[in-house]
This record gives sequence, structure tokens and C-alpha cells, in this order.
Amino acid sequence: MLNVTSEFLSLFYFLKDQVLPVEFVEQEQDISLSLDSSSGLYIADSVMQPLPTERGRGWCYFDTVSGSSSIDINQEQVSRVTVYKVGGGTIDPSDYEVNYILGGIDYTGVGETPISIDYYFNYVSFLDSWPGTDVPELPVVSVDLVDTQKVGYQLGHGKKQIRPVRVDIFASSSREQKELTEIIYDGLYKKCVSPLDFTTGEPLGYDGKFNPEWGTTVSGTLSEYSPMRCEDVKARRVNMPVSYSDINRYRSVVTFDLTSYVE
Amino acid sequence: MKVKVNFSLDQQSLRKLSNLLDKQLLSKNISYVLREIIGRKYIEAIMEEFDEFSLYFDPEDPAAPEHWRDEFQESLLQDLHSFSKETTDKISISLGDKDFLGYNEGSLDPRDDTPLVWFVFYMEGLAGEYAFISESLFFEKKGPRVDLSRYGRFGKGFMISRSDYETEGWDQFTSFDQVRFPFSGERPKDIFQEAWEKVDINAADFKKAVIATLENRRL
Repeated sequence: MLNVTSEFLSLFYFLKDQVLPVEFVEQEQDISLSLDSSSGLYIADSVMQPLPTERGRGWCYFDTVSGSSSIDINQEQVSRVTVYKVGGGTIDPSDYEVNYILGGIDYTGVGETPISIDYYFNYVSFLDSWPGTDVPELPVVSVDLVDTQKVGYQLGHGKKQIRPVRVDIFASSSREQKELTEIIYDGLYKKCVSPLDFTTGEPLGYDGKFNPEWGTTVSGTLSEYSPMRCEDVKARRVNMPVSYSDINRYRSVVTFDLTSYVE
Repeated sequence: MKVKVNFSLDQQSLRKLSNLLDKQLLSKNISYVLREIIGRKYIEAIMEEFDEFSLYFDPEDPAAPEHWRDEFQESLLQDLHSFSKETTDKISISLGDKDFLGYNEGSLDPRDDTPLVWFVFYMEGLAGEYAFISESLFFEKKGPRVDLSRYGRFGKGFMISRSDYETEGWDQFTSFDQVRFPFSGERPKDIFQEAWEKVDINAADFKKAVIATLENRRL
């Protein structure tokens, strides 16, 4: 994986898993489960709008740190999903795996039937590039690297990398626009993003389940990178004349330079 | 979105000549260089970026930027003069202020249908998919008695989202693909910033200003 990819992924997961969930996580309770014969999963029958499993959303796979609003990104959640069984009571988490993308559980135990579920999901659809024509239901936030500049910073080897970043916010109301903009701005202003190690994959595997290898190396940052600093953070409203477009009506943009020093 | 140049006259190279130079004249001459040489190079670069937007459009499309190219360029030239300020210590010139495009917060008139205001879509990106329904198509399909203004801001037509297009039954007249607005879904493109990076600022131009001042001449 190229450095630019791991740096971008570190930023992406920082915003998705640590900044936005502080405020923009919702809970659904007592949602019935139905066995899907093709996938073998017990899928939650959610009618929530926006749909928790829509692109860029998904169920929450990290817990908050006890007594704090910050997120523990080192291990899979133990308190965000609760599965109930026929006849009452909960199913032991060791008897199932959660599919956080499809919104269901893979029951691996014996003798019980999952009947309903409580879970938290990401209210904001968070995308790794400009949404284009296929825009999920609002609110949507997209992040993209705009450019890269590399300059020397000391005698000898080593360089400073400057990557301008653009975060576009598409909200469904003026209030939501202000709140999203504020949360993202505050999440970046005078903050550093730790470079994460993706050599064992991303937090979720391709099958939507938590990657069991995740967290084994993530607690330390990669030694060849410095933390990435967020500099020159700016937020502005995009005041577009769009009476015909709900998508573009309440927009704002946060821009900043993601800078790091590389030996 | 906006490029602002601040030129301080309190520079070491100029300080050495301070006894020989008329500061007010120097300020005017450097302002001339910034405005008439660098500013015009900048506008040329902006127009090169502007022309790239036309690649998306059929020249017959009423929303094609090339229809208001001259108006856009003229506005840039006016902007260049309106936002030039000079004192004996500092000269500042700015271009590309959001007010220029008419969509600054508080100053936006949603009924405004001047072509320059359209430009915001190209600068800020347009998420989603839209149809552009020209005035002629509208009247052909819906009849002339409908008040066009309630549909949108465009003088020569209006935009409509794909879902509204289908909900309102426009697809029974013309398929969506035939009237799809070509800039639908395109990402933002800050032509002011991109153009500024192309501008070649030549020290010789400033030397001309200093020499003219030493000769007590105004550029």
C-alpha cells in the first residue's frame, strides 16, 4: 500500500470513527430479525430513514471509551449490538458475528433463534470521494485529497508533505449543516491524525465483519511517519441557488492542509 | 475561491533607494504592474480554466459557459479595478471574491437569473443528477400558459432533479438522458486558485516600475 493511501485511510477513519460518532450516532431498538436464505444472515428489518445500511453508513463497530465520548478504535465493540432470542433474554456474543455493512448477524451458536436486535448506526453517510451522481440520502459528508506538495524541511534527507484536503458537507437542514460543520471543524482544528497501520487490513473485512487482525498493530503509530497535523483549517458555507435540489441546498465545506514529516 | 495579493513597499531592496524614490509614484507604478501586467496574465489563465468547462457542453446548450464568456471576462476586468487598493506602504489586489459571482451569504437573490450566477455550479460542484429543461422544450411539452419562474432561476430554462423529472412525468415527453445537465455530479473546480498557480510573476516587471519611478515617470 502506498503511503498516500495509508495516510488518506488514516484520515478517513479518523473522521468516520472518531470525529462524527461523537454526535452523529443513532440507536435503533427492538428491531425484528429475519433469516435471509441467500446470505444465511439474520437481517434487521429496519425502516429507518436514512437506512442504517445505506452506502457510507453501517452499524457502529467501535465502543466509546468508558466515561468519555471518545471512541476506542483498538477493538471490536461489545456494547453497541445486543441480540435477543425467542423466548426472551439475550444471545451470548460468542454465538454470533455481526455483519456491520449488511446490518445483520451470522448466528453460529446452537439451539437458539435470534428474534430481535438493538444496535447503533452511523447517521451520516461518510464517503471517501465526491458523491457524484449517486448520492445517498442526506446527510452526507465526503472527504478527498485535493493535491500534494512535498518540500524539504531540514539539511539532508527528509521532507515535509502538504496535502490539501476538502471535506464537503451535504445536510438536510440548516441546523444540521451548522452542527456537522462545527463538529468536523472542531475535530480537525489544532488536531493530529495518527497514521494507522493497514497491513492487516481495514477495521471491517470484505464480508462486513470485524477484521480479527485489526488492533494488533494499530495502537502504535508507524515509526517512519510523524503524526499528521491539520493546519489552516477553514470552514465556509456554500450558498448555492438551488431551489430545485435538496442535495445541494444546505452545503458547506471544510478545507485544511494535512501535513507530515517523512524521513 | 479568492486570490488576494498584498505587496509591501517596505522591502529591503526598495529601502536602499528610499531617498531617491517618490513613494507615492512608486506605489502607483507597482500597482500598475500588479493590475495591468500580472492581473491580466491572471485573467488570461482564469479564462483558460473557464474554457475547460465548455468541454462538458454541447455549444447549442443554453447552459454552456461559452455563451457568457465575454460577460465573465468583462466582470473579471471590472473586479480587477474595483478591488485594487494602494497606499504608500502597501498595495492589495483581489480577484474572485464570492460577491463577484453573486452567491455570497446574505447577498444572494434566489430569483437572480443572470448567467454569471450559474457559474457557482461549476465552481462548487453539483452533486446529484439533473435535467436542464430549456424554455422551448418546456413550452413545446407543457404549453405556454405555465409560469416558468416557479420552476427555477434560469432565464432560458430550469434545472430539475432526476427524481422530480420522473415524478412529474417529464420522461413521457423526452427521455432523461436527452436532457441530462452535463455538469451533473461533477466535483468542484476552483479555477481561480488553479489559474493563480499558472501565473508567472517576473521580477523584470517590477524593475520597470522602479526604473520609471527613478525617472519620475508614471507607467
